[in-house]
Amino acid sequence: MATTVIETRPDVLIDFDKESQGDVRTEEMLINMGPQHPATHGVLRVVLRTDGELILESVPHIGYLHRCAEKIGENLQPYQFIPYTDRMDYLAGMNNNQAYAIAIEQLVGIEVPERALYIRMIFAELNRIASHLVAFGTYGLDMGAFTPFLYSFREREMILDLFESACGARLTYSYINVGGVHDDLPDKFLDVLLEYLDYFEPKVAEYNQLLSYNHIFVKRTANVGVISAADAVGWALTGPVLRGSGVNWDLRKSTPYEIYDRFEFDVPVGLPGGSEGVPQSVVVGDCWCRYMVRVLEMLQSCRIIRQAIKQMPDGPHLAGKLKNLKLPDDEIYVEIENPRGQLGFYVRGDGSTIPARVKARGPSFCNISILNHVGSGCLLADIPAIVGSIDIVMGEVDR
Amino acid sequence: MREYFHNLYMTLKTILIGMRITLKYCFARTITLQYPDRPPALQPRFRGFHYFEIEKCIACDLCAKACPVDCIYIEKTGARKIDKASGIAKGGAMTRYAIDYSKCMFCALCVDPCPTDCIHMGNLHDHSGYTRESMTVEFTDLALEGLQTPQPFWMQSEKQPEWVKQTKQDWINRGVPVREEMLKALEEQK
Ligand code: SF4
Ligand code: SF4
Repeated sequence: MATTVIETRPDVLIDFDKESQGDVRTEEMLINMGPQHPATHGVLRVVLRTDGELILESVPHIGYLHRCAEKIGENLQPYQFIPYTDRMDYLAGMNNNQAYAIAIEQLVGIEVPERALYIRMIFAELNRIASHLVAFGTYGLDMGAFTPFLYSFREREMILDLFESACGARLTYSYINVGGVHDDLPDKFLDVLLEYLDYFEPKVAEYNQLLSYNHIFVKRTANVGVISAADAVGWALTGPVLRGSGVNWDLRKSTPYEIYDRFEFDVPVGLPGGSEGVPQSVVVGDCWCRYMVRVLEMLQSCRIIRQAIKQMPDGPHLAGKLKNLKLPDDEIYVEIENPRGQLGFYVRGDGSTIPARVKARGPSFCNISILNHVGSGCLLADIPAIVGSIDIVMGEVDR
Repeated sequence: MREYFHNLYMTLKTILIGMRITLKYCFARTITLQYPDRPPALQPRFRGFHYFEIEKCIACDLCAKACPVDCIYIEKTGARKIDKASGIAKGGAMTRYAIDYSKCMFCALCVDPCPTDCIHMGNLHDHSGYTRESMTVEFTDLALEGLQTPQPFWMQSEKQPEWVKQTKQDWINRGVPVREEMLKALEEQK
């Protein structure tokens, strides 16, 4: 048999005679990758059905980190559930706090003070940078480049210091709360922040030289794990994964929430090879595009923060009391753009202070679903490249 | 063949570009902090282990109710009220105020509702023990020793860097003005 069609990917034809100089097909083998594997970004277990180096099927198995977060939300008042949202997507605690806070505010009808909105947005964008820095660093690590990881963590550390100065925690912030933010900004915070942005922006060029255009890195990621735009939309992918496939969809731009409509910024999307700043071998929707969208988004976040600092109003940072809020007998679904995609919260109240139902739509959970589709037909070594470029956080996949 | 050498050339070239950046940092100031010898630069708002001023606590249970994980245990013999003159809570005795740190998630939700502002987030960030029970810190017992916050093992050991001694002294000094009063108040309650 010279040509094989893999059942799950009819579009992938492999000419075994040409590829392997003769039929060396052996038995199929099942390989467990994870749940304890450095390249799976947490406790993800991928069961790979392989034929030699070739992946026939890659099925993600999830649930190792399930902590009943949604059920806990149905037993606690909204302000008490905020610390738990930190622990869903633990690399983007601020964005998660914000999503749940917005859901409750819209359900109850709380007017958030202007200053709080600006502070929230600055922190959400800073957290986006911090989260993308981790994605960037660990992606390099997955591809065998150790240095960028140290550099990205150096910059992330400074963001965490900024967070610590404002809210006292470095990972589980619980800073953005229902009705505003927990504390006002500390003295001189905005000056330090501006200093940091001045320091950080040139660093991105350095990252590009270090990793993005490194020939080995491009070879490992370009034209690997290609997700077409139709597939991306069809599988409900969101965030950089969707934009990497060339779809210009960012909730901050397409359906602006809070105050995002007041700022100017671009939405980076995956570009075909040969465009400006894109290596020749890149195809829209491959791992390199997804990676690059994140790198470019960091710069856009800096742009937003700079505008926000200029417009920062004075005033209160909290809309009064947030305890014992009566949740009306109503329901709400709110989606925001988290660093990994669209994070949604569905909350239904029943007249008491505790929600009757809380449901979260995690972007990582939806994004990982395409792994089998892109993974089959790839080589074994491409699986870490694909998993890394989808950038999942298992805390959120399993919740 | 040509592609092979092109690949080699590109790989070398881009690695050298990367190496240039790395080399630059060889001569820059190191940013790594040698932790046990150097203090971590914690911000004033850092949310570490609580410090608790027992003499001001009126045992109203508001902090325990706000805690999402129910890890604050309070026991008292009767109602307590702040005595305006001395600023110290009088009335029934506080027999227990404990926080289970194996459950606590340092969210600071217990700090906000306190009417007398007597529980705060401190800046110590480690604690260790050999049993699960030892992770429950009895603040009433600590108060009798004149402490407001648990002391980690490393702070109690003899051999310690200079900054640790300093921090420890700061912690002990922190409650000095009220400690006399506090001990007196506790004596009275006995
Ligand atoms: S910090 Fe949070 S978890 Fe810990 S005792 Fe206070 S309210 Fe409870
Ligand atoms: S809220 Fe304050 S006064 Fe009331 S029991 Fe807690 S620590 Fe004591």
